[in-house]
Amino acid sequence: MSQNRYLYTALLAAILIGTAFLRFYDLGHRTMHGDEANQAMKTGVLLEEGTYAYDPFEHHGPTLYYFSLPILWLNGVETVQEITEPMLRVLPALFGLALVLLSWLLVAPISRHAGLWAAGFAAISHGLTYYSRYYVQEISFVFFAAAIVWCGYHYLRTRKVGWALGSGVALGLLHATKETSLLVVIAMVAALACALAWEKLVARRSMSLALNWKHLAGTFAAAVLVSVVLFTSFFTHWRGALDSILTYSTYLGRAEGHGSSALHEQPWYYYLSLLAWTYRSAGPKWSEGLILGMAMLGAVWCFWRPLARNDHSNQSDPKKHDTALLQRFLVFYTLFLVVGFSIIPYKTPWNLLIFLHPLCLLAGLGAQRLVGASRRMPVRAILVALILVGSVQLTQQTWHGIFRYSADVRNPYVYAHTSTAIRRLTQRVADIAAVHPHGDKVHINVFRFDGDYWPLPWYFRAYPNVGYWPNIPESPDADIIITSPEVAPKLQPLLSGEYQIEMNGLRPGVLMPTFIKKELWEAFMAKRSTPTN
Amino acid sequence: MRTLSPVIALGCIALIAVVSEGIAEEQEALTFELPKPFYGGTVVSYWSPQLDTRLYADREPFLAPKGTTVISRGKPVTSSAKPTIGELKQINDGDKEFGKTSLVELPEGKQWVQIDLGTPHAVHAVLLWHFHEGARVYFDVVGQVSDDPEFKTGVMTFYNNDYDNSRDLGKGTDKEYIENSDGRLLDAKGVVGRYVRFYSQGNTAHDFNNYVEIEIWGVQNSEL
Repeated sequence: MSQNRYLYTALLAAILIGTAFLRFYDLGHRTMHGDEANQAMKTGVLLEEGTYAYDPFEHHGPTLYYFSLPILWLNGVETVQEITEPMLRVLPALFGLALVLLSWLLVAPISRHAGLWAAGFAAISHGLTYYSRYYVQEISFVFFAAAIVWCGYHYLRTRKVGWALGSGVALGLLHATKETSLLVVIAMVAALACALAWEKLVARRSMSLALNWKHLAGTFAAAVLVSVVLFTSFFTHWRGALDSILTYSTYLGRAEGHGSSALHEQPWYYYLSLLAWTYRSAGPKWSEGLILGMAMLGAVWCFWRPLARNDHSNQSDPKKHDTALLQRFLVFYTLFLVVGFSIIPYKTPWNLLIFLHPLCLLAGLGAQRLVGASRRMPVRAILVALILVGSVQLTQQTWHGIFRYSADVRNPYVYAHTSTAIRRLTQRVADIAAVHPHGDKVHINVFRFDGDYWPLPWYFRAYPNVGYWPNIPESPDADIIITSPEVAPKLQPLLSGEYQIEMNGLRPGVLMPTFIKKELWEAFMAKRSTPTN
Repeated sequence: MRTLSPVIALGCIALIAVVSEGIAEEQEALTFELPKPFYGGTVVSYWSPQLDTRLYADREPFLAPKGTTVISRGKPVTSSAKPTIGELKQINDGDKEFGKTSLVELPEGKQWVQIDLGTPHAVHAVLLWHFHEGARVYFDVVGQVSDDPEFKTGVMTFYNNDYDNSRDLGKGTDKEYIENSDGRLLDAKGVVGRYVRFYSQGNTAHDFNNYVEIEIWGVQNSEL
């Protein structure tokens, strides 16, 4: 192995080690988002009872739950009470790490150096890192989409049936992960058509897909098989397969902002502004502008003069044309995803990941083109240094985003997130349970009639006597009562016991008056000896 | 002599009454300069028996001895931890606006800031803004005065809403409150000391501790 190869391997290893650190370190740091908690409880049911039924109205597809099981088994847990947040978040972290490796695998065939840049940008991207530590479907969804492109590209180059089947498996997993898979597949097909048309009409090169119908059938068979197996909960819930198709009527309405989805309506430029510049309140200014800028540079270059493979200088080499097709495909694919997701009124920050990842790939190509634009070594060195300085800023921002500001509304990727104040409440409940004669069997009533109490079921999973009420019952008394500021004044006259009342927070602006039985409160306070001021 | 005693007693009472009236006349209402309110975000629906319900009522005039002025402006400020946003000198620089440049943020958990008045002063009032770009409640707000910069001796507490004593400074009986542009007016009742310290422990939005401005009103001890 030459010295350059050693250096290259070392750089790739460093990127992957750094990625692993950013993905896996202190996974329990952030409070659980309501959506994470919801998914966690569904995984808990699957773990404990072995049952899962696809819900076409909420929660997305089944891959997250089934893929979590081996990790939980390896940890030796059997009940939801034993599951911890890091155990759950290991799964997206693994997909996050694999996505960075896949970024290199996708771009390295075009240019080895660009492959490193692309992997590096994917590794330090704030958005990709933040959601690689988040127990929802998003990062695995992005991984499956990238896997389709990777397998598809290699199939076009080699025509080997294995790559065709690999594309099918990835397609089935994409479908079984999230309903927006339909949009992604449409973007892929349209991008491939546009890239081929460009080759023929502009680059004046005849490129035929020369489809092998047997291979294509194999791709679809693999996709359908994987999807059906998962949606039918391993052939125990046949309705799931049908619902996985019928669900599109629900999600079409959501995309148009029907019902409560209107709460998530945002202007068309929402995603681009999240990436380019976020400064909501005193605190850090956030931007992934380096990736955005490099990606735009890369996109322009992909059309103007696509990168040639380092080891193929022959203009007539068909492999060179393959990489040109891949580069233009990536540009069209990213463009269609950005436009498609931007024109849908329903927007949440995690939905931008599906195009943030190909933006990182294009950014890798852009960085390589920028550095390679000059033949003078000092100029190249300065350009590399400048990109690295920007990358250090990105890494620092990502570090703050996943730790100090991981649940803070100033972070662009924090959306309807549980406040860190939830830990004050959970600590209080633990303190009260500790002085309760029956310990964890403390009776807790939650009166939040709008159903806005997640992630409490996750945080209270160790307490068997928790009731989540849709109204105030005849006897609302309990050891601990958690309610809303609207319900509290109506509830108070109905209580027969004496209570200490305090305020806790669910999210910024969403508060939870908490009633604690006086005798339990006094028993708890007796442990604190300092006199009254 | 016995016959004179009631006369002397009456005279003394009359003298005390006249002096007291004189002192009362020397009281005056403090005039506070308030920042512009922030119109944005969602109003927090907050209900708690610990909460001060006078939030939206006009503040009554605050009477303090004549000559009471702002004694904290530009004085040295120290804190339990280095700010993660802003500089400590912003806490008493007179900029009370909600803008992105006036906020100082201390790390999460139990933190304090302390103003050194230079010499002992009689502190009559404190106007305190933790944050007013949106409604929040800050937990365990405690205000103390001492001549000891370490706050180990001669500590006098003039405000404490730490009702569960989670700060270990003693259980407080003062109210929690929602932050707004009027600031929180604390009656320090003329307590004398050189150092004034303010504690907090996170808020309903996050675990950090914020200060926009602290304005201490009082008179220097030699003027008393």
